[in-house]
Amino acid sequence: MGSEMFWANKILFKNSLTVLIFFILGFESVGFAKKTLRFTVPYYSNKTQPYFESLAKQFEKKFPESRMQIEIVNWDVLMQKLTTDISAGKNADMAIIGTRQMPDFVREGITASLDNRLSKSFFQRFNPSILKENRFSKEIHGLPAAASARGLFYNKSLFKKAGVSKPPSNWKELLEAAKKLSSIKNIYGFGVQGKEIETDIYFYYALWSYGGEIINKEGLSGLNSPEAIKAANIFKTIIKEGYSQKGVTAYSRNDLENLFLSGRLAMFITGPFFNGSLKKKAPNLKYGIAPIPSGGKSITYAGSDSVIVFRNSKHKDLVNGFLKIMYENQNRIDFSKGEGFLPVLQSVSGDKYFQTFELKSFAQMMANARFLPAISGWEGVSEITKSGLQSLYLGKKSVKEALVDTSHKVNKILKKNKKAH
Amino acid sequence: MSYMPLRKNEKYLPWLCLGPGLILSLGIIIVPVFWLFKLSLYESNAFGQIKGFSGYIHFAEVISDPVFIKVTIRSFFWTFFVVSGTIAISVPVAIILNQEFFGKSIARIIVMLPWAISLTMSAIVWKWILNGEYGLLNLGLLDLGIIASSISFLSDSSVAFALEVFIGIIVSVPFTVVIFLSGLTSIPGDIYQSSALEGASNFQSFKRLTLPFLKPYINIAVVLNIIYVFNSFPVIWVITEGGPGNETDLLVTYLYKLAFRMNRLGEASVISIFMFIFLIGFTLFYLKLTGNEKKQGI
Repeated sequence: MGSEMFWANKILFKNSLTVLIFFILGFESVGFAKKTLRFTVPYYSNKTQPYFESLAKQFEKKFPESRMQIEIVNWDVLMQKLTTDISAGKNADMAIIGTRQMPDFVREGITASLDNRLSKSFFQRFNPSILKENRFSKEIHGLPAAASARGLFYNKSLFKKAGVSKPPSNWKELLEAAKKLSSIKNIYGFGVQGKEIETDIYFYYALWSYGGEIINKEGLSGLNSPEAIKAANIFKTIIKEGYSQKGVTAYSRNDLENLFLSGRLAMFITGPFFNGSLKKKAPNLKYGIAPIPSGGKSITYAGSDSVIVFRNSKHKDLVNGFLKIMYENQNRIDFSKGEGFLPVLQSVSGDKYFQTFELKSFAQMMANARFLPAISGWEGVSEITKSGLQSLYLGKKSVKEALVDTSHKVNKILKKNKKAH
Repeated sequence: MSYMPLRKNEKYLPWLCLGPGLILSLGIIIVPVFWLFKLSLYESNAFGQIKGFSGYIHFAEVISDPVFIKVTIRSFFWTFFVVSGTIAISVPVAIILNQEFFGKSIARIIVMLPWAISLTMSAIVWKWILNGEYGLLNLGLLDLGIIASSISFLSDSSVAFALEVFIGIIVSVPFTVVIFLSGLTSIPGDIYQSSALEGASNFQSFKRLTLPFLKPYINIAVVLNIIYVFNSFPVIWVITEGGPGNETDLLVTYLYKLAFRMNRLGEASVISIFMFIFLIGFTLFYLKLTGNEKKQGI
């Protein structure tokens, strides 16, 4: 009986195994009947997913033998996902990343050069100054996906109430205006960002406007410089005199935006994407957009993101096909409309959508645009600067102490990483 | 009841049954630990691709990093305060919930409810509560006239960290109460009756009966909580991201920043190894300690 049971079990086992193998193979064949193009996209807003899904549909219509998989990831975890995907060799075919993140990707040979993949006329449609940031050792490794500038948003009603006639054109005027505005009960004159993404950039606005640099000509941190001290003193004064919101280190860009939307913040610096929130959440708020105050130089920060193609992608033709669809004029206009970004294609900048006051103000500022330095290890520099600024804003370190200490730490990273450009 | 000894040909049956699970578990544990050691000893790029042998350099870098020292001390403080606070609150809560009173089931549900919510969600809710402008805490204190203007709770690291410890305790209580409740239900009720007849006060029966019976459960709650709390990421990350200026960072949030914000995977692996060794060491030490107690018949 024992042996009968043994054989019965063995047959059962064999049959189960066969079913299992067929099951797995069946799934495999269904899953891989079509070539799948994967695209990792960071989350800009709730319009990001529907927009890219619509691009995927256009692509699948044109290439019926293929399917497109859009992977929407939050900005905060984008690098984590890409790092783990790449280290496991399971990365997508394409991804959108911050242009400032590109040098590490290029240096490690992760991205494919796009020069020979797409025609010259394709590249000529782009805004050359934004495209230039994607060029590494004469090779183009990314296509501009989104571009934005930064400007001073101000609440016109509060300005009127405080007797401030026009937006400040320099930092001295900003201090005067912020003083008047913050004397109104429960109103903060100027919002200072002290937390999360772009905390360091908020400081660079003043640094650049005073003629300072993030990385100086010697390739070292520009934080230990007279210009950086001037910039730090401006923020220190704003906080110390109570012209800003209280507890700046608890405020991210999003928190400042919410404070402005509620009508309690008179001025702060952000990008054109904020126009959409203002229209939707505070349609009656009267606001204006002015250039960032000057400290001798008029500047704005140009933030841009890029599409990169992974070198290990096996779908070269499909990638090219998708990129051509993605950069059709109408698709680019739809993207800008959804997310509130500036045009990256010269061929669409004449469109009437970009002629509105909200976007035109920013487009004009682009003439004085400053980009972040293209260095590998940028994320580390940014993180350390953010920490240094927080200790300055909290009053735990003096201006000089915080800047010298941070510049030493930044220099350590810079020495470790060679410039990729 | 005596158990039946296995027959000779069934000697390998337990291993056969345990085998697949064991292989899977070992795979899940050993493979990442192997990679962790490899990453700590090799130079790797920002994407975790191994470049070349670097020896003990990453270890030296971590040990000479002043932030690491501060973060390590803070992690131990965090674990100590959260775990001791959790145990101190959970014992009386479990004892009360074990009594018979009107609305007992509702009270039990209320205490257990936070357990059903993910830690990240709880942390997000607390972040809103503590918001410096519109947070419920600020609005409540303003309405009661306790404060004249809103307080930015999370901008100062010492206040923020104290609040995070408090939140850490709140979210750890439900799980600990469940452990204690299962312990309390195993205590026979008649021993309390006998002790009452002998004239024992409530405090005496708590000290002489409840606590000794609860001791193994307290031990397991301490071990599990130390492991969970020492490794806990969401509360700190959601509320302050370890800031301002690394001043609320724990080892686990700091290593995340090193790995995925600063691309220093080697150093992050070293910290991970330190944490792994500490937890393994602690668990073995604690198991030995509780084992000795059992032998001594405590």
